[in-house]
Amino acid sequence: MIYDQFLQTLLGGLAIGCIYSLIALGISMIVRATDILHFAQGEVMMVGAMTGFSSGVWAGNAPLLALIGGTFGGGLMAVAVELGVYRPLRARRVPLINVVIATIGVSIVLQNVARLVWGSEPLAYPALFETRGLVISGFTVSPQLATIVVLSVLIMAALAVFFRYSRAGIAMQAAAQDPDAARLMGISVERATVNTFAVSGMMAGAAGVLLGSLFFASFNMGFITGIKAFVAAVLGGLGSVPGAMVGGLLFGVIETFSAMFISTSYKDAVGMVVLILILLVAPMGLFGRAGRQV
Amino acid sequence: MLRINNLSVSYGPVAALRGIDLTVEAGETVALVGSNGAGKSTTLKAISGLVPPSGGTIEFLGETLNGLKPEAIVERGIVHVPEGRRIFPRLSVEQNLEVGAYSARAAMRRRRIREEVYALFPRLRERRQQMGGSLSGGEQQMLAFGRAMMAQPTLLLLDEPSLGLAPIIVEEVIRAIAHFRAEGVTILLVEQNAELALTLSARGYVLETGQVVLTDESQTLITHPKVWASYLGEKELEDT
Repeated sequence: MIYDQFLQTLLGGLAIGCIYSLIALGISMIVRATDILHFAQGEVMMVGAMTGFSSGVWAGNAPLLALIGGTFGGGLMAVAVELGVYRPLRARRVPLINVVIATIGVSIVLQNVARLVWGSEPLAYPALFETRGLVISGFTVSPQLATIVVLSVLIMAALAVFFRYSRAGIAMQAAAQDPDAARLMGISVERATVNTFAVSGMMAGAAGVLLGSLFFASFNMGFITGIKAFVAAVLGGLGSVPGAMVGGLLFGVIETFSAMFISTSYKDAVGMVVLILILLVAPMGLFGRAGRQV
Repeated sequence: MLRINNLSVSYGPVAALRGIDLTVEAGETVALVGSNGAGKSTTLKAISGLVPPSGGTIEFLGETLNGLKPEAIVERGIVHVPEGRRIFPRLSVEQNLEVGAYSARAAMRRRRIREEVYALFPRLRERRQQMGGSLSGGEQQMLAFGRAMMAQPTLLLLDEPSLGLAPIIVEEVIRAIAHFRAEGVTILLVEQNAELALTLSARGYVLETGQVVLTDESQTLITHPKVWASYLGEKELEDT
């Protein structure tokens, strides 16, 4: 049965890795479009988990509504902080490092606001997905984990299609690659940046619902998860979209296996050690490139 | 069509343009020549809205452009092909062309124009799925022209289209400019290569340290000592 256990652990790692990927994708998109390291992305995820929880409960345990509520909650929150905080700072030509520090401020404010609104007790998500064991060709598979993987893959596929074929998606990439040239094509870089925050916030919000349904939703769930998503983004190469996807999956699997083979108490440390090792070997990350190239 | 009155632009304390006057009539090709740092590129950037004027006015078809954002100026039919081509390196050739027709005025006819671009530059059709950044310098210049065609300009601002290109590619550049002229597009051409610029244009302006020092028919300018002086520097000319 050791093979069965291996598969279970692998699936668990992939599921948590998908959640890291969804958050890391947003971090990478934002750094590519604005050079901002968005340390509040974990809190955007937490806001998604909370609004998803509330809309799920309001709708009487409807999983789809929880997912939609979380997605839009995360997207709106990200747009709100861009319009309310980061854009005014950029307009005042504040040095980039100060904007990055402001993202840490935003993350702390969001935690406190969430504690006020949703309280400090962890909220038990209603059973959104089937919890009975699913038997696939002789192996028992957790339906919750399988659902998370499937939904994440669908969301990431939708993102890829959006970037490749939609005019808004292509315009966002153009604005990130060369803002002045994009302006000369008639693209509003400001709008493209808002769209970037909206899409990255929506993905983080969806990740929040998935993570909440796996454990709990609580005001402080975003911090450590956000840091790990950051690690995943760096692992894949900061600013690279495929890198963020692979980095998240890899980090999730490494973390889960180290919890199994070494100890649950050290899994965070093991993950970080692996990060440092990978960065020593491949300083730019797996899919890395140096910053914004023109 | 385009009327520039007493235009000044400063980058911080540095004055890049000190009160230039310039007009371009519909259907004309006008050259703007001068040495490095004379203010040629700055003039184009001021017209397309990338840099704000510190004084003077820019009028296009009777409307003042001062204070409009670049994306609003594109909607009026002014298309700026910046120096160094500036294609999007991690978008495919086809996506680059799609972005060219992003403005609302260009979006309608974009499929038909794309076919025209591919007919003029068959190489771009062959490479349409390739990333812009993987193209050679000459192909990137073709893509930059294709992108400008997609934008369907009334007035085209070209900044150093021949810079750093092999002579055989410069032929392509000349062909592309001829295509725009045949379509009736008005062109304001900036070039370091004064000879090329003045053969392609009817009239020209010579810029020196942010001021217009000379303007005449291109045929006259091409033999004018002042044109060559502005490249070589006055001093050297006096010495010879």
